[in-house]
Amino acid sequence: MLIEFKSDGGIAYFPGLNRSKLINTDSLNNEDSMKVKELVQKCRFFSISYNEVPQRGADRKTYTITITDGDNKNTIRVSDPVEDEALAELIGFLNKLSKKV
Amino acid sequence: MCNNHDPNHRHSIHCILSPHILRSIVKNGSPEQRQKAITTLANDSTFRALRNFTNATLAGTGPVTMISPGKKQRTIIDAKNLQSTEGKIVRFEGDPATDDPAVNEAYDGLGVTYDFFWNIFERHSIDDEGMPLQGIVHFGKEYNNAFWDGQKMTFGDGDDDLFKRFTISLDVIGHELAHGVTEDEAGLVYFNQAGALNESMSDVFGSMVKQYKLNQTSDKADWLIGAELLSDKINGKALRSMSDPGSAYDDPVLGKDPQPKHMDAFVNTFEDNGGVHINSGIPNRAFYLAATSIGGFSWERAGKIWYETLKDARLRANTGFKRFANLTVYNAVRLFGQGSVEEQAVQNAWNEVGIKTSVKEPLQYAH
Repeated sequence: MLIEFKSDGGIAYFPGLNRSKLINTDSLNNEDSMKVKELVQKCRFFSISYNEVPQRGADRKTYTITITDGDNKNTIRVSDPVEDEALAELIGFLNKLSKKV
Repeated sequence: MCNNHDPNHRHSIHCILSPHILRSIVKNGSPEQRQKAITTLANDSTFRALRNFTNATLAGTGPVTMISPGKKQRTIIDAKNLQSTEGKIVRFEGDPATDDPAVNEAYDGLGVTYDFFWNIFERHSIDDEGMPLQGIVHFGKEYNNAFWDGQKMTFGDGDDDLFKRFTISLDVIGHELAHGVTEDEAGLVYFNQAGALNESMSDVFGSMVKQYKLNQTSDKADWLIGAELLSDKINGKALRSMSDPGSAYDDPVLGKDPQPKHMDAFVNTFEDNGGVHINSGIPNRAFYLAATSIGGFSWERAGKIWYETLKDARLRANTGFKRFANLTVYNAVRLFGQGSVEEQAVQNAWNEVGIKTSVKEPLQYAH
């Protein structure tokens, strides 16, 4: 499974954190790989559709995620607050993983 | 109110007369005319208030209240680590401190920010009409951010790896609340130069809130945004430096602070909504230079000029740096006089960051 994760926005612009990160589950340790696959499934990533731009506010983060798994591929863009709890959980974990890659 | 005896007849005096004509009838009309006009005026006020209330509610500008000027109304909500702006109310106005530092910091920080705007600018909350202040704490899991959603200020706990909790810095709380003020007054669009001005206004007011709390003159202030926020593992001192943009951090994980301090280094980018947190370094430094050149407390003169500029009707939603700079000079002249120390300081400040100002050219044509 290939995951492209980009976090943009927030209260400050950090070049290191705002870079697009490519996560290959084959390169992760077994625990992280299992966890991310479980969260992708839990939020039904390949059947959800988000392409949101917030109309009001400031300093929100926006997340762009593309996941490819065999023939399945989907891209979403979503901004804070991510009210879909399962998706929020996936984004939280991808944030953690992206610090390692 | 428009119906007379016939339910299908709409009495003209009750329907299309403007309030000033009705007031004239009250003053000069016959007793019967006066009575009808008084009734209509009273109803008209009620319906106008109702319309305003409805419009505000439908527009999502937050709850409308009847809080006396100078009185604040804070509510702190615990999101319980969910990405939700709903949650449990954990501290309401007047409640004693809790044993949760994030709750108390949000409550106190919103209080100081309200007091700053009220005591210095006589501004009654975000909308100058007493809008209740709502702070969400413990938003998300290890959430590294704080934001303004158009109604509430939201703070994450940080991951303790890169960032501490986002309520820890008073200027960050002031920054978020000031986004509401800017949205209310100028509606600066959150993109490109207007967005960078929006961000800069939040840093300017956020920094002044901290200086106000510490009773610091401009020469004693650190001019840092979020100085308490970075964890010990990070090679950096804050999120941003207003006095020396580009110097706040240089870290293997965060990268190097990308803020320019001069128009020569202006960053054209589609990242970060067109660089709103990047190019804000330029107007941030202009404010720092103006405030320190004028001296004393930053809010007394430089801050007053910036605040009056924010309220200036010529500050359009898509205003760029040049037009904003011209408006600050215009307001310096209006407040302190042509050729004043303040006008000179503001002109010099913009000049030093690479923006030539002029109030001679008609402002409506300035960029």
